[in-house]
Amino acid sequence: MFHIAICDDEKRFIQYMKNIIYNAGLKRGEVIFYEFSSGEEFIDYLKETASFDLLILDMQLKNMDGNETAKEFRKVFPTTTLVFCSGVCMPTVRNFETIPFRYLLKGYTDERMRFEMKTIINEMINKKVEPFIIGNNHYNLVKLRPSDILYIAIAKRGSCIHICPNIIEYKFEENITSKEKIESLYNLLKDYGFAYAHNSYIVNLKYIKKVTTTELQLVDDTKLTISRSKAKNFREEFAKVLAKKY
Amino acid sequence: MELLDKFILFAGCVAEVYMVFDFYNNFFNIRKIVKSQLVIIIISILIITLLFVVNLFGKAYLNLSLFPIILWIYVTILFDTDIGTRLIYLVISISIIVGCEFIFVILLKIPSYFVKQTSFMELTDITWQVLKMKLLTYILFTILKQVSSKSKNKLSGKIFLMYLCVPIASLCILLITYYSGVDFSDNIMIKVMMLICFCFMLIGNVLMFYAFNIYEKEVYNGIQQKSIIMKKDVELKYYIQITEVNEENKRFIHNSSNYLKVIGELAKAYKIENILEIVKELNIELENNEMKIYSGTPVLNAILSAKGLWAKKQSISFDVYVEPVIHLGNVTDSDLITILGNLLDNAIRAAASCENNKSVKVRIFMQNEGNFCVIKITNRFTGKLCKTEGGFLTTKEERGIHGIGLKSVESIVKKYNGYLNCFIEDKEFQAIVFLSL
Repeated sequence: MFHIAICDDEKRFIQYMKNIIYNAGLKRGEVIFYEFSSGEEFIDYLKETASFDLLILDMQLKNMDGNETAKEFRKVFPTTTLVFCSGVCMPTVRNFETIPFRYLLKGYTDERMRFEMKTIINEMINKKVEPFIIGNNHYNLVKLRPSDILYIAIAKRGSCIHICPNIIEYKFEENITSKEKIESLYNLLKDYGFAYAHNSYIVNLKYIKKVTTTELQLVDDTKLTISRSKAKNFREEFAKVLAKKY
Repeated sequence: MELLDKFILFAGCVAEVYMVFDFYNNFFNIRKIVKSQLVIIIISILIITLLFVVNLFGKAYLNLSLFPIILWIYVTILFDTDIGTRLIYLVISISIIVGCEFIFVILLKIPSYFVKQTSFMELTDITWQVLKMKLLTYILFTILKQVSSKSKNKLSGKIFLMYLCVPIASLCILLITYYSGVDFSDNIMIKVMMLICFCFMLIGNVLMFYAFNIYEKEVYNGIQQKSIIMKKDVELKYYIQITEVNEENKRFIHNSSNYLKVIGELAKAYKIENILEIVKELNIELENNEMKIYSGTPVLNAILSAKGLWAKKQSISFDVYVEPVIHLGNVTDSDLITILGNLLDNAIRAAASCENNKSVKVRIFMQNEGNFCVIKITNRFTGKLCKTEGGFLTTKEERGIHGIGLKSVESIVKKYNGYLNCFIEDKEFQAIVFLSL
C-alpha cells in the first residue's frame, strides 16, 4: 500500500494529479491519498502520521509556502520522495535543501505529466523495496536503510556505519557497528549508490557535497581521501549515480 | 691522467646525466619549484661535476656505489613522482648505462682485477669504444622511450624506424673504423680531430631526436591554435544570435502589451471574434520564435536552440529537458559554450550517421542538494568506438583536430572540480559531465 499526500490549494489540480497517478500505473486498491489545501493543515497532520511514500507539494501556497512546508516535512521524513509542482512560479536555489525529486509544471501536457509521474512512481517503489541492514549499538539492534547511511568504514571486527546527520531517528552518541565485513556490505549496497573511495571505506554517493581528484567532502563536512587506486572507478560510479536521476 | 682523458670522462658524465634527464622527462613532470630552465641547468651542472669528481678518484667500487646515489638525488630534486616509480625508473636507467659499460668491458677483454683497481683505462686509447658505448646507451634509451606505452613523446612507428637508421649507422661507422685496423696513435692531431668529429656525430644523433620532438610540439600547438580560432568563431556566432534573440524578445514583449491593450478595448466592446483573431496572431508569432526557452540562462537557451535547429535539419530527434531550478555557479558563458558546443556537435554528428532512430537526448539538472550540476547527453551511433585509457577515440576522419574537442571539454570541466565521463550502454553513447558548484 502506498501513502501519497497531495498538498495544493486547487481542488481541481488534486483531482487531476490523482487521475494522472492512476493513469501512470498505480491501481485504485494500492494507494491511499491524503489531501491538504494548505501547508499548515499538512504540517498539523504530519504529527499523527506514521509514514508517507510520496508528497506532491504546490510551491505557491497561501501563508506557509511550499518551501517552508517542505522543510518541516523533511524534519520528519528525510528520505521520502518529494515532488514540487507549480503553475507559474519558478523554483529557487533554496528549494535544493529539501531534496525534491522532480519539479512539475502545471502547464505540462497530459502526456508529459504521465511520463514524469511514471518516473516518480518508480522512484517511490524503489525506495519502498530498499533492503535493510542491521547494525549494532551496544546491545541494541538498529535497522538501517541505504539512504540512512553516510559512509561505512572498516573497523576492528567488521565495519563501522556512519549515519547521515539529517536522519533524526538514529541520533546515537556512538557509532553504529556491524559484524559484516565491508566487502559484503558493499555487495549489498552497490546498487543503491555506494562506491569505494578507498580500500577501507565505502561512501553513499548522494551525500557528497564536494569532490576533487584526491578528496571528497560529505554533507556533514567529513572529509575523506580518495585513494589513487580507486579514483578512476569512483569517478565513474559517481557520474553514473548522479546521472541516474533523468 | 691526461687532459684529453679528463675531457672524455667529463663528456661521458654529461652524456649520462642528459640521458637520465631525458628519460625521466619523457615519463614524468618536472617539479613546480624547479620549473625554470636555468635552475634545471644549474642542478644538472652540479650533478655532472659531482659525478666527474667521483670518477676522478678512479675507484670502480666507489664509482659503482655513488653513481646511483647521485642520480637518485638528481631525479628526486627534479621530478614529481612517487618514490616507488622513481626507484624503478632509476634501476632501469642504471641497468642500461652500466649494462652497456659491461658489454664493452667484455668486448675489450679487460681483466677483472683491473676493473677492481680502477674504473677506467687510458681513455684516449679507447676513445671510440667510449663513444660507441655512449651511442649504444643512447639507442637503448631511445628504443625504451618509444616502446613504453606511458611515454609522453612518442614518434609514430614508421618515422621512428626511419630516424633509428641514423644512430645505428653512426654506431656501425664507429665499429667499422675501429675494426678496420686504422691506427691514429702516432698522430695526436688526427686523433683529436677524429674524437671531436665523433663527438659531434654523437651530439648530432641526440639533437636530431630533440629537434623532431620540438617540431612535433609545434605542429600540435598549431593544430590547437587552429581549433581555438574555430571555437572563437562559433562563440562569436552564438553571441550574435543571443543579441538577435534578445532584440526579438524585446519586440515581442512590447507588441504583447499593445496586443493586451487592444484585447482589453475589444473586450469592453464585446468583440469576441476580433479578440480571437489577435490571440491567433499571437500564437503564430510564438510558434515562429525559433529560440526556445529551455531555462533561465540565456546562453544555455541559445546553444540548445541553435543545436536543436541543426539537429532538426538532419532529421534527428532532439529531446531537451533542463530542470527549472538549474544554476551554473561560476561557470562562464564561454566555458559553457565550449562544453555544450563540443558535446552536442559530437552527439549530433554521431546520431546523423545512424540509418534510423536518429536521436540526441540532453538532460541538465542539479544533484546532491544543488552541489553538482549534471549535463547528460545521450546519442545513438553506428560503427565501432574504441575505448582507450584517455577516453574514446574519435571515429571522425580528421583525428588531429577533432580529438581536441573532448580534451578541451575535459580541461574546462576540471577547472570546476568536475569530470567528463563517457559510457556506452545499449548501443547508446553517453557523455556525462558533472560540475562541482
